[in-house]
Amino acid sequence: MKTDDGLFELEGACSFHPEAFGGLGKKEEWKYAPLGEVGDFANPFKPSNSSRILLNGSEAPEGKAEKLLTPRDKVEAAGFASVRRAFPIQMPAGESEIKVINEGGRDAAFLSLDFIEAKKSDALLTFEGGGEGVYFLDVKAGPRSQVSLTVLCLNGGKKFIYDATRLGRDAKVKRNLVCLGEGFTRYSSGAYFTAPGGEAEMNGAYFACGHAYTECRVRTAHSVPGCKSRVSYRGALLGAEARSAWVGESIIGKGGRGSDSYEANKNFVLTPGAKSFSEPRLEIKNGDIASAGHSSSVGYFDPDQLFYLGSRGIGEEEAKKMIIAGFFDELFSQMGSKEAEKEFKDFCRKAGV
Amino acid sequence: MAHKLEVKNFKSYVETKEGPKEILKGVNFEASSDEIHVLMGPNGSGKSTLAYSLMAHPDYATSGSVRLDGTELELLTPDERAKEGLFLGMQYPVEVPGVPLTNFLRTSLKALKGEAPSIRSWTGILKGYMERLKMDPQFAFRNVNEGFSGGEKKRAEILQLEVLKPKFAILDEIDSGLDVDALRIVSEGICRSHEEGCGIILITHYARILKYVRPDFVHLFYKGKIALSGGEDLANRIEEEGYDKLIGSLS
Repeated sequence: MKTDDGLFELEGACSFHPEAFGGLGKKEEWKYAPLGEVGDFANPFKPSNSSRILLNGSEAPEGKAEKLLTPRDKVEAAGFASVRRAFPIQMPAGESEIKVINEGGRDAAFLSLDFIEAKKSDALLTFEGGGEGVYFLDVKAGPRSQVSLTVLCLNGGKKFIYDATRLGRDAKVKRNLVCLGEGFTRYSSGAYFTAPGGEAEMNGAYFACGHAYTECRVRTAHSVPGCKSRVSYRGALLGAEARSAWVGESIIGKGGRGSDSYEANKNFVLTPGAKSFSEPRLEIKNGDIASAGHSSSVGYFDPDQLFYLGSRGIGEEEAKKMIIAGFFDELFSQMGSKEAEKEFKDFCRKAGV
Repeated sequence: MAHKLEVKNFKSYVETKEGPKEILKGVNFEASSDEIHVLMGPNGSGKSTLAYSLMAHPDYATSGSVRLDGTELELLTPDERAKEGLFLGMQYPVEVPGVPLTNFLRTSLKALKGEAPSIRSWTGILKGYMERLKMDPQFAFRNVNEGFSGGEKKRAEILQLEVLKPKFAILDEIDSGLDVDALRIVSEGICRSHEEGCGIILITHYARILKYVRPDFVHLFYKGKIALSGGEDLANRIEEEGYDKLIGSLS
């Protein structure tokens, strides 16, 4: 299968064959995940084909699609080897909505979204249902396209999602992700520049509740000149058993002269015992970049903030809600997606925060 | 009717590696809301500890009695004390990211008074208060204290004082870091609040603010308690003689 790997100066093993990778437990990229719960995803499986893929309310037709990148971990390779259905979708200009609904069964499916050259598109993609699976989402943003794609990952069963966006010349892409729930989600996303002048804004909000494990991995690959990426993810954890991991990887290759890159992740631990891991990585292979940086934090409620709000009559419970809302509001104003904000706030309300 | 704040044998402790350390060693004073009290004292004498302890900051354990109009505050949380009518204007106001000043103040008003002005009327009301303090109305939409300069933070504290209308305000070094114009504007805000019935307890290092905020009582704070009380003339003596000489003459 022809892929774009050669462009992006990515290191490490890649293969469409799961056996080319060693066991999960020995691999750095699996160090945070609870492998006891999901280790069996390392093997190809017979997909349930239970996922319904709806484009603006109608069943999306199956077809053939080429994957942008060769799998880079064992679950990705095993999952892709399990895929029997691909959904190539020409995305229209203007607004559109895609739903992936899996009410049960373990499925694997491949969605390839092609955003048209020089058009402005605003799309919402929602993963729903209690089923589990491995999903692949390839996004092609044509030259000079302006794409806003928001993904709502409403967690039911265990989900692995591999999401790659390929940006053409001067394409401007905003990718928003909201990941909510009490189950297992591992969402890997990336922005890959294939021609100069591209801009990628990657925003993400996740809320891990109860026994949830939420892992978000974000990669930006600058291997052509003059591209810009901004990554901003924020997470909250509620419940002593809640876990989250965020890994941000910005790779500025030898060809990425004049690159401008920044990645940031902040986490709010609401309950003692909950654990949040945050790992930004920056790899620069040329000495002629515009800017590159990262920041990362894991924090608790600041007693001085609670005191300040308290001294103005705002009780502790209300003050905590204000602080959490403020923590995420900045991100949602960047996202500019009312659906993402509403889904997140509804979830917070149900969780009592 | 004037309100009354009574502080009796008020002690405050901080936790240290060696165990609790007593910072306030039995503070006694009474204030009426038609009075302006000024606390002056050398660095480390416990003035800020008194301010924060009166508002129940979690860093401090306290004992003694604090009564506001006869209601004992000693076991109340900060928000409960605020609801009883106590206000603390801070030397270093805290930033609250993502929470616009306007939302914060309206939520605060609702918490304190039980209801908030309608959103339609609120913007105009707040703008009126801000104009008096010569604050840019756009500050209302900025996050609480985030990116504010030192002077802007102090004006925002006085804005809150004027909007929330407490019975008593403890103002901890509200004049520090202000230029002469800002000092006058902040002072005018304090005086307006006082004229509307708010008792003022002003903690300061410098007599210059007293040119605008004329005190009825001045207290010299030293080693965790009030060492000397007097009128405006005591502030002048402190300014002229300095703490060392004045305290030396006491001992």
